[in-house]
Formats: sequence, C-alpha cells, structure tokens
Amino acid sequence: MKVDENTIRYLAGLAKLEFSGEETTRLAEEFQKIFDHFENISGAYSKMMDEKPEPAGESVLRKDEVKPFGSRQELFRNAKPMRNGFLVVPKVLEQEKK
Amino acid sequence: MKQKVKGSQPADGNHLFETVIGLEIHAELNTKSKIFCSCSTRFGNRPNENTCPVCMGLPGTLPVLNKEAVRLAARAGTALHCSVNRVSRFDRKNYFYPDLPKAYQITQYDLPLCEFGYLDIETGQDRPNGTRRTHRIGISRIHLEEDAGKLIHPEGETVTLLDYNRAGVPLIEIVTEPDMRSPEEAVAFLKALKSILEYTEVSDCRMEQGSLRCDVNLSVREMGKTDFGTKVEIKNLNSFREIQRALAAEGERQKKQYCSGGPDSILPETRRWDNGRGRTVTMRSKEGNQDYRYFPDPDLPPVFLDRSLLCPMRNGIPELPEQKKERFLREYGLNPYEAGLLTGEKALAGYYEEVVGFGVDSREAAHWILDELLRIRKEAGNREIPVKSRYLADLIQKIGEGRISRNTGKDVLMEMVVTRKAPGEIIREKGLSQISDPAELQKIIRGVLSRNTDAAQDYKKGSAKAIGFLMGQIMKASRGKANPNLARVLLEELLS
Amino acid sequence: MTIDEIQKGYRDKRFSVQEIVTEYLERIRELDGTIGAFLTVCDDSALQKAAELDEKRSRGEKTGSLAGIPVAVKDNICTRGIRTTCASRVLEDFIPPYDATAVKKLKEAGAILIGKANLDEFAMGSSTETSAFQTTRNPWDITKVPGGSSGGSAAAVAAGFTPLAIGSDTGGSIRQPSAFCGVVGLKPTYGSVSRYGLVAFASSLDQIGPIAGNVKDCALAFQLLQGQDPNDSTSMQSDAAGAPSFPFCLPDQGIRGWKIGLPRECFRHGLHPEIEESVRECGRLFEKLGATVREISLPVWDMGMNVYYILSSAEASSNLARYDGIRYGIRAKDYNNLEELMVRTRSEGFGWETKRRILLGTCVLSSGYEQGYYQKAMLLRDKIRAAFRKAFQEYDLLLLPTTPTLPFDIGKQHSDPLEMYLADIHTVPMNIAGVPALSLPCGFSRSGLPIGVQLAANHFEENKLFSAASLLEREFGLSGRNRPPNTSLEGKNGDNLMWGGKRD
Repeated sequence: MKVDENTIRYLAGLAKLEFSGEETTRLAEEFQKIFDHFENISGAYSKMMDEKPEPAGESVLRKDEVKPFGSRQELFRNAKPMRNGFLVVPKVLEQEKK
Repeated sequence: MKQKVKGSQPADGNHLFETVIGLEIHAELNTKSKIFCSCSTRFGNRPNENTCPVCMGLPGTLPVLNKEAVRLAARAGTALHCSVNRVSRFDRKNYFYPDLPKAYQITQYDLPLCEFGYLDIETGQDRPNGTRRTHRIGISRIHLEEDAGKLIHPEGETVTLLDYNRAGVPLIEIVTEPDMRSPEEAVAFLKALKSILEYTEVSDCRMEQGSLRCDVNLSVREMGKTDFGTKVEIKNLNSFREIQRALAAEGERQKKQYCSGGPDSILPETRRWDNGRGRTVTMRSKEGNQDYRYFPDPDLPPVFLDRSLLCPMRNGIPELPEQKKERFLREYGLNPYEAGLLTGEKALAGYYEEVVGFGVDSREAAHWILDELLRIRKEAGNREIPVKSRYLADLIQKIGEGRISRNTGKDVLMEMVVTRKAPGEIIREKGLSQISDPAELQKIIRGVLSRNTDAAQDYKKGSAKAIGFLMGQIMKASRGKANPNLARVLLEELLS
Repeated sequence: MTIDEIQKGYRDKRFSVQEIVTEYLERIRELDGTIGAFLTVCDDSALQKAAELDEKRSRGEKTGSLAGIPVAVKDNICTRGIRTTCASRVLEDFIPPYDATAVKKLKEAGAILIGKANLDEFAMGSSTETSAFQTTRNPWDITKVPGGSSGGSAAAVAAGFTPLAIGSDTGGSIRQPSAFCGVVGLKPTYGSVSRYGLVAFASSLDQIGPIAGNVKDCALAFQLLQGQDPNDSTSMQSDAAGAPSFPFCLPDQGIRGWKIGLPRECFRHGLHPEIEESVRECGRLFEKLGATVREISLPVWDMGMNVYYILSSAEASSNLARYDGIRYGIRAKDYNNLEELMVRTRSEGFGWETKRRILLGTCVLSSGYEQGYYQKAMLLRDKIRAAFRKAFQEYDLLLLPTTPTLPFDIGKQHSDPLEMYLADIHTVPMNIAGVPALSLPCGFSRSGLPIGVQLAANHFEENKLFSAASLLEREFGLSGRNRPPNTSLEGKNGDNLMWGGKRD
C-alpha cells in the first residue's frame, strides 16, 4: 500500500488533527515503512482461517429501569461555557451529518 | 445495484417517467431508559437533565445494552415480516459532530437485527373481484442504534447550544427497498408503518415530537427500464404532508433535469426540503462520501436472540391493523373508508369497540365517532378522545329511543366534552328531552296549523315545500324538542 | 513491608493507619522530586481516610481486606473528585464525576488512595516518556526509564512510596515496567477485571491489574479487583474465583507434575544474554521443584506485533475521537469556529506519539484503502488465540522473558518507531489472546538493573500463575529482604520502607 503526503492529509482531516508540512512528510515516510512491514508479514499468513463456527452465548443485557445519575453538578463541572443548562459551542454551520 | 441509465442525450418530453422511491425511517423506541445507560428517555425534561457519564461519553465509560430495546426492535421486525437474526452485532460509525458525544455512533452495520421484511399498502385501486389491490413494499433491514443529542441555533447569535437529553435514546432504523412509485405510496407506507408500530407499542411515532423521522430518496427513470437512475436523498422532512410535497417537487425537478440535460445531469447528492419555498435545495458543503470507518464495537458482545427476547407482548402480538380492519368490515358492516379510519389508530379502534359493546348500533357508532367526535378532537388539538365510551353509547341510545333529536344530540355531545358530564344529566339539566308524546305533539301541531292556514292549504294543493315549512314551525314552537319523525307522521295525519 | 505485615502491625497496635500513611507521604515528599512517579499526591484525603479508619478500628468495627493499605492508581483510571489526566494536556484539568469500578472496590476494601501515578500519554508507550507533564525515573537507576506505560505505578512500588499500585496493560504496560522496576505485576485474563472507569486505549486489549512488591500482595489485590461488573459488558465472572484456595491453587503438591513450556522463538537474536540466562535459571528451578520444563514452538511473536499495532491503533483512533474540547478537557485558546476549536484542541492537546497512533488507526480503518488490514488482523488474532489454546492443552504454564532488553536510558531517541515498538514483543500476544500473564523479578543484571521473568497461563488460571510465582519467589529468596539496598532510596531516617523498613 502506498502512503504519501496526500494520504496523511486526508487522514488528518478525518481525525481532526493538523500537521505542519514537515510533520506531514515525516509521517508519510514513517507510515510507508510501517505498512511495508505489515505487508511483508501478512503475506505469510494470507491463507484464510477455516470456517468459524457461529458464535454462541448469552446476551449481556440490562433491565429497562431509570436510574438517574445523582450529581449533575459534578457531571458538568468539566464543561466550559454553559448557558441555562445547555453546553455552548461556536455556531455550527448548517451542515447535516450522516 | 444503482447504475446510471445509459446514453447522455436528453430525452424528449414525450417519454413517460417512473419515480422510484425508498425511505429511511428512524423511530424512537418506547423504553423507559436509554439504550446503553439508565438515563430516562422522557421527552421534555430540562436541558441536559437526562444525562450521565455514559451517554455523555465521559472518559472510561462503557455501554450496556437495554433488554427492552432489543425486545421492541425484534417485535417490530416480526410485525413487519422480517427474519430476525439469531446473532447480530453492534458497530461503531465514526464521525465528528457536536451532538455525538463519543464522536462515534453505536449502530448495527454488518449484522443487523432484522432483514428481508415487507409491508403491503393499498394502492387505491380495486382488483376485478372487488378486493383492494395492494403493493408489497420491501423492507431491507431494521437495526438498533443510539440517537444523538440536539443542537439549538439561537437567532442572530454566533453560538450553538447543545442538549444531550436525546443522546443515547434507542432508535430503530428501518430501510425500505426502493419499491414505492409515487409520493402517495410513500405516505401510505408511512401511515401503515406508524400504525403497526403504535399497535405493537414499539414506538409512539410522533413526527412532531421527533419520535418518528424520515429521510427519502428518489430517482427517476424512463418507464419500462429496469436500471435505476441517480438517487437523490432528501432531508428535513417534518410531516407526512411535507414528505408528499417534497417527493412530488423532487420528482418534477428530476424529470425536468432529465429532459433538459439527460440522465447524467442529475447529480447524486443530498438535498434539503425547504417547506417555505416548496422545493428541494442542495445542501451546503457536502463532504462527498463520508468515510465512517465502521468496525465492530469491542465494548459490546454480540446479541443472541433467545425466546425471552422474541416473546412479543405479554398476551402475544396484538391483532395488527390489517387484520382488525378486515374484521371491522365483516363484523360491523362498515365500509372500507370507515373501517380504515377507525383502525388507523389503535386507541380509536378500541374506543369504537367499547361503544359498540354497550349495545349501540355499529353504523351509528361509526357515524358519531368519525363525523362528530374526531372533528371535536381535531379542533381541541390533542389526541385524547374527549368523551367516555359509556357516555357516547348512552347518548346514541337516547337518540335512538327518540328522547332527543339528532341535532340536540350534537349539542349535548359538545356539552359532554366541555363539562365531562353524562348525557342524561345534561339533558335533564337543560330540559332538552324531546317531546315524543303523541298527544302533546298533536297539541303543538294543531297550534301551528291554526296559525299557518295558508301553508296547510298549500300542502293540500300538493306543495312539498309546505311540509318543510310546517315542520320548521313545529320545531320552532316546540323549541326544537319535537321528535321530528313522530311530528312529521302526526302532521301528515292531521293534514289529511 | 508487605500488606500482611502492615495489617498485622495495625492489629498488634504497633502503629496506626495515620502513622503509616504519614510515613509514606513523607517519603514521597522527600524522594518523588527525583523519581517523578506521581502526577497528583492525595495528602489531605489520604490522611482523612486514615483518620477515619483508625476511628473505625478503635470502635472495633469490621474493616475490609485492604484496610489501611495505601494504593497508587495509574492516572488513566477515573477517581471521583480527583484529577485524572491520562498524562495528557487534553485532560489536564479533568475531574471525573465517578469512580472506576476498580477504585470503588479498593475504597470499599479500605485501601487508601495515596496518589495518581504517571504514565505514557493515554497509555501509549513503553517508557513513560510520552507523559505530557513529567518523566518518571527508574528507582534502581535514575538515568534509566522505569518502563511503560504504567511506569509511575511500578516506580512508586519500587521506590517504597506505596505497597500497592494499580496500572493498566494493553500490550505489556504492567508487566514491562514491573520487570524494569523489579516488582511483581499481573495482567489479568481479559474480562476478569472491570474496565469501567479505565480510560479506553484499545478496548479489546486493555485490562487493569495490580503491581506490588511480592506475589502474595499482588494476588490479594487481584482477588479483590476481579469479578463481573454490570457496568462492563465485556467483564466475566471466573469460576476459579469460587475456590477456597483462590487466588492460589491447592498448595500441597506444589507444582510437582506440572508441564511448563519455554517458547523457543523468544530466545533469539535481540534478547539480552543476561535476561536469557535468568529465564533459563527459572526453568531449572522449576525442574528442581518437580515440574517438567520443555521448549515448545509458539510462533506468535512477530505476527502479534502487527496484529497489535493494527488493532490497538484502530480502536484507539476511535476511542480518542471524543476529546474535542466540547464536554470536558481543555479547549484551544484561539479559534474562529467549531472546526478550528476541535482541530486545534486536539492538535495542541495530544502529544506526538498519541497523534501518530490515532493517524495510524484512522488509516487502518479507512475505507479508502481496501487492503482490509483490520479484517486481516482480526483473523490473525484468532490464529494467535488458537496457538495459545493448543499450547495450554498440553502445558500448565509458559515461561519466557518479559522484555528483550534491560531498562534503557531516558531520552534514548528511537528514530525508528518499529524498533521502539519491539520492546513489547514478548508481552503483546497475551493481550491479543486475552490470557493472563505475570512478571516476577528474578534477579539483577551485573549492572544492577532488575530482570523480570514472565509466566503465562490459560484464561482464568491466575491461580496457577500465583502459585508457581510464589514458589519461584521463595526459591530466589525474593520476598523483599534480600535485594541489594538501593541507597538512592534511603529515606531521612536511613530506612528503606520497601525493604523491611525500620518498623521491625
């Protein structure tokens, strides 16, 4: 797999991180090495596993009960600006997610 | 699957088009607590009141699945004829948005809970044998996922406010096959779906409260073709009516575009419905195909369906709308329109049967509920049925016995709604009893005839209008209390 | 002193809880400036808790299994009302509103939280050098790293700042620093200790585990910490925990008749000869005790590294996406809109290694690269699990090195990330397979640096680990008293709390 500066920029955008030009170059080189390494090894194990039996077990489930979290104050003490109970962020542009 | 229609020359306006519609619906489940934590799901609490470290995505927190959410989703799947998978799994859908506390949504991507179902809708046409023609709309999947919080954009400000009460509320996402062919079919599907989800008590389905949300996608193609055209998604639809309008508008837009620029000129995109302007608009800065980096959520083991989760409601799955409607047609001699309206809402159907259960004629009951009660309820603006079933039955019986006239009955009904009193009490208090005693009526009639000899003469000469006039006078003289049928009979006797 | 010794001292009224806690706090005050094990020291609350306990004891009230025992908690484990930073700027002012389940259990048992221990940022690293706040030094040689990521926890125990610490292990982060610091560290079976409250790095690999000066203390702590937690859907109840001998096996026959495997792939180029010698010496001791020790083939090490880095970075990239400054944590000072708020908060708040791993994970999961790395890694994971399963069908335990090298110099820049990652080569496969493993100090190098040996067992067989380890400990005379004194660790009064102390 080829990894270059464009790859790094694309990934940084996805991960909401920013890097300087120099850092981007450095990361591209490092990643290329890492993925080359993955390639070398994984080739040896390319034979697929046998059919796995369908997993079995019990679901881990919780009863549908309301248990309010006691301490609102503690829960929100780490939130920066708040207004009338809402958290405040810079205006979100009309951009639907999903 | 979706290939573009080949050829890039614009089609001429003579080509017939087919619109192809699919729906993506989200319904909030009727659980008490959220899907992965024990916060309340109650609507309308103060902002950020129903929150805890888990649904706020605080560091170190972990999700634990709500059993009832699985049950309800499985029940929905069963009611919609899906196969409910014995093993299903949760995945993470990764993206950044302020209403998403963990920066990923826990959903089901690879192995959803339910698949391959359907819902039959009526097309409004009849078959040769008189039964309704139905169209089977495929349901490709139903899966569980968590809801996100809410963003509020105060007017004229540079900030956005966040409320996480809704974050973590359990949702089912229902994805249909692109089997609908008109806006009307889409709405018919949604109404039928809503009905089923209400009946099975899976969801409230209130679009106005956001417990039912729907995005649509639409493409056009030339009639007769089997390939799919370019699909356009439409968001921001807040009612069935908006959905219908939006689909109609978008269908037109695409057809025009097809004719002027060819099929390839229709861009695959997401558009927003602008209700004010009555059209769809391109959404700003669409990021192209979002890279959600789905992978199985390592914090949640697979969901194994066992009998206790598939067991629907305590007394089994209730009679579903389709069956109930058939039964109403048979048992109560109603017409399809009446039966459809009455069974469209579970509570209403139940109410109707209660009223009939008191011994009232089934057609009369249908009339009073559909023509009077529903109108009153709509004007009141809430969903509550404003009169006890026992009282309504009583009222209908009194009218049937001739104690009050139909018109008086309508007034009494209004009074019943306002005061919540029994009909008998109101009739007594207001002295509204109809005069049904022949002797008393004859006295009134004689009085009217004596004062209106001309009219009596006209009648004898053959004027039909005269009877109407005389009846009017009789009602006036009796302050509306004369039993009209009896009065008419007696009048005619006296005149002859 | 060991936990037993401390508690006996309480019972015999030789000293009070307050006195012990005060001594530990004084020692920390005196020496942690050099070592740097703690990010937060909880003086006031610890003394208050100590006072309460003394009060309780004087009234004759029953107290828990760890009553009056100080414990250091790695700073990626949430402690209610006490700053929990994960050694990252992004959380430098974060105060959790809840206790991790592990912390809750410790508190209920009467343990006294003495401080939050330093770590590599978000537990990503093998030297504790990526902490945003300070570097921790190895108490045995302060020019060397204590290992990581639980370097602070291991150093705190080694320096006699606390008899017990808890850390977390995702790829070796308890075992490797334990080996480097000459203490006992356990990575429990995946799912046996609740992860609720452990700030997630790689959810399918992380486990909280105890670090102590001797095997018994480590076992006591594990016994307390393990157990299914309704708040953690991946936690499980161990059947073994029901046995009366738990957390040990029936001690009578010792390990006579046990079969112990020595994976030959571990003994190769790159393994420090003194470490190899120590491990083989342990093998000979086990044979003396009646076990059969055999070399086996277990080719999971290289495969393990790749699987580990693919899976852990993928999960980490998702787990760390929530740090955007909106609900908690720092916010960038300078931003014009929401996008800048998030990007700058994250870019300024995260250290280089953290950012690199997030990026790697994003790459691994991204659909733009249809190489299917994540899927392939999952398949290989099954292969590694199967290899261990097969090994444990025949063998009771595996014996192998904990680390390939001795503790290395602080600041030794690893320009090649691959080389740095290889520090974890012997520990990572156990996380992948979910099996428990323990590092036990088994001697010192000629340069005076601790050497650790690793034991691994099948799922939920920590009892075998503890039984075998305590026998080995006894054989080596490693109950704590016979280690060479480390004069840099002597307190004001010339005592060394770790090694017997003046209270005898």
